[in-house]
Amino acid sequence: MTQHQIVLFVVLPMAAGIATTFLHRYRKAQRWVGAGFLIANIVFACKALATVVPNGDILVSQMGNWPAPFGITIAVDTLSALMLTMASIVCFSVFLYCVFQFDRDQQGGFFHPMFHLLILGVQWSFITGDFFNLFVAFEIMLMASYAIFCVGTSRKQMKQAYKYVLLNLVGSTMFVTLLGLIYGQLGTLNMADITRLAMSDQLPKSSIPVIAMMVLVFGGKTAIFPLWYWLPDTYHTLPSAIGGLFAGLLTKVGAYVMIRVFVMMFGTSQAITDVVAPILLVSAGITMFLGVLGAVSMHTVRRILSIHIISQVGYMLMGMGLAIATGIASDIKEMAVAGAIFFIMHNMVVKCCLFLCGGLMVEHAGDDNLEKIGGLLKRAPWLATLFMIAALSLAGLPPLSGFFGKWVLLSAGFQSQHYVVVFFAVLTSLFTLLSMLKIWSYGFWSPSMGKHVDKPERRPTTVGGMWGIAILVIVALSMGLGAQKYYTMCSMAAKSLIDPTNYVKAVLGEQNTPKLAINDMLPETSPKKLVIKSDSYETSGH
Amino acid sequence: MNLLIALMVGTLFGASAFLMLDRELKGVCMGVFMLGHGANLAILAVSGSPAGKLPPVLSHGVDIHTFVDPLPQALILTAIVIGFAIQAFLLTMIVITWRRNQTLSLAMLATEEDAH
Amino acid sequence: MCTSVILKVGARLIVPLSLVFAVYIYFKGHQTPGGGFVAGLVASVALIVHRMSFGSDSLRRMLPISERYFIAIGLTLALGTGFIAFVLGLPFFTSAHGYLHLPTTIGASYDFEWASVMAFDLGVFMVVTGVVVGMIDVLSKEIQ
Repeated sequence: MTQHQIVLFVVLPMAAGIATTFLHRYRKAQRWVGAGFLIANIVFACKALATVVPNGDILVSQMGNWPAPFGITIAVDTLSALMLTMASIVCFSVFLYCVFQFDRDQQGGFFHPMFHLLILGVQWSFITGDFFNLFVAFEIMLMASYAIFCVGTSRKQMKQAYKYVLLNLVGSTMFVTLLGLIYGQLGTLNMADITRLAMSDQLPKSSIPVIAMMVLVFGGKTAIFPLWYWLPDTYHTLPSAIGGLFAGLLTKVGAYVMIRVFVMMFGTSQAITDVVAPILLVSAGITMFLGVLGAVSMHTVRRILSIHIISQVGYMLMGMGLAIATGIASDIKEMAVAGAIFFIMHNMVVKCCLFLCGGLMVEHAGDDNLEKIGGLLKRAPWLATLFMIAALSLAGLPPLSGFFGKWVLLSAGFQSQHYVVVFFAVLTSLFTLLSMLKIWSYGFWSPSMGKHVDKPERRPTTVGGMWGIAILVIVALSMGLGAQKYYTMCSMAAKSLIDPTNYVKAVLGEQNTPKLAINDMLPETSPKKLVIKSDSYETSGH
Repeated sequence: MNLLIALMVGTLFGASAFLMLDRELKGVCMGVFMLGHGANLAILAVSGSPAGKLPPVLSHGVDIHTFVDPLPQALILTAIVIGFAIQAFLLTMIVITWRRNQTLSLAMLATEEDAH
Repeated sequence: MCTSVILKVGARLIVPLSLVFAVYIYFKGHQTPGGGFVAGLVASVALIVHRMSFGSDSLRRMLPISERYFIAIGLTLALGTGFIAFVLGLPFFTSAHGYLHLPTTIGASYDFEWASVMAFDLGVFMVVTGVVVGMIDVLSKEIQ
């Protein structure tokens, strides 16, 4: 994949969105076009990964050929490529599920265009190298999610939709205000340029509280401890597949951005890490523990799974917090970041898979209240098998993917002597197993109880949905059995995040790049001039 | 001038906080719209100062004191467009809610929800 | 629908004038303030004034295609402009430009600077017009 082709990650979903808008009366064509674009998306993501991984290259494209800090940059490094690959697979499986399991109403309106625009926003957030574009990508993603939220709504869902929309709007407004403040302080919004400023210790003192407040914005999107209140109330009202899509992508985009911002951009600035690290670590412990307690106390499949999202976010936060708290570049730091990345990838796949399983459970049993259903093991043995694999993977039993993610995070925690958060992580893991077993034993294992809701007369057709789940389970299994391969890629990504010299060099060019200063030996850097000499642009007529 | 804009931002944010605590959805949405306007003004106030930054592209023979960095304005324009789309979306949601429930009162909507 | 005579007569005057003004802003926007977005807003204001005075059906007859397709066509145009540069192996959205010598009535020719960005701007124009007109049309139907 050549440098300029990375723009396809934005162009393809957008083209799919346009095409499906044109075709909104022709349902069949809409589906085929969507499937074609999504498969192309997976192919390109894998190609990007194959290009980036061997040498840790960074693919950079400057929109409109404007030079770096002035134009819009998009860049794909190892982290972005990994995220893109996982996200595109998740999108395809959810798409399969939606196409085969949703009825006409649920797929009606502009569901398909919105689905593709959601993917556009997600992928754009993964590849953008510009802070303001991140905001725009977030907005596109959220706007599409609002619209999907309201497709085929019941009254209850509408009420929750207000909550979701309004809280996200307030978060977005805060984000854009902070961006204005950051631009006022630093004079640039290009991520590589800000990284350069942070690496050469040129961040003004007054910008530190502004940057630290970013935790609130991204934390709100990711649903970390004090800002999670919107999530358990809203996600469970969604149809399972949409819940899976949101759970697999939206909160993980938040986590990705937090890694990008606090580990890569500001991870080298002592003043900021001192503020952010304790917040993240404390919040990580509370988030994961309270989240899992909430999940254990719930009685419907979708509620359990949606509160579970929060608890899993805690692990990602733990990785980031450990990495930021460990000041200098070291093995522990790399391990913590790699663990967080591995965990995000694992969680995207497994969480989404569990939501899809929950959806099929509803199809089979007519309800997802665990006190009313039962005996699904006999009715749907394949579903039970796939659910079991995904659930055990989430709980972190070896040799499945969750185990390796947690293993890396826990050993990073032990080595950096943050025992409290490690203790909570282990405890959370135990409760996770408990909550998964609850779904298993009530939903699948127990005999059908007397008072269960009326079963559908004929067996529902679930082949399409099962394919979607099967793809995700295969990916999850490969992440468990081939953990070494995945972990190597994650630690490569981590390495380039901890020392972002290469990223800055790739985006800004050689001469502007400072060396990472260890031991306070700061290199001489001239303050950046925003004024380009006019003669260099005169010829282009501007 | 900056003080004036700061006061306006403060007023807008305050008014929007007041409106968002309203019991009717109309008021809540108005509050959100106002919040957006406040944010746009805030960007203008904090980053558009002619004293500090210059536009990245200049040609020969212009007086640089007459130029302002255009980027914040581009940011604001983008934010306005996004805010515009969101306003349309929220208004549509309100219309649908009204058509279905004949009420926009949050309390009424809450009581009609079945207890879980 | 408003039945005020004043509005109807005014609209006959305002609508064509605003549409012409939109075209002017669109061409002016390459170097000076203006451009596809603003032009789209002005054009949609004209169309909405028309809708207010003569009703939704009249607006339908006036527009060649449904305003929803305006959005899709505009997006295609905007995306397509970027894509040409992409096919040529340049970064997305790289703009080309040149000069067109136009004869004028006063003798000296006028150099009109064209840029491929203008096609993008036309796309923006169509998207904005489609979105605004569609949105207000749907919402005001609800209110009636």
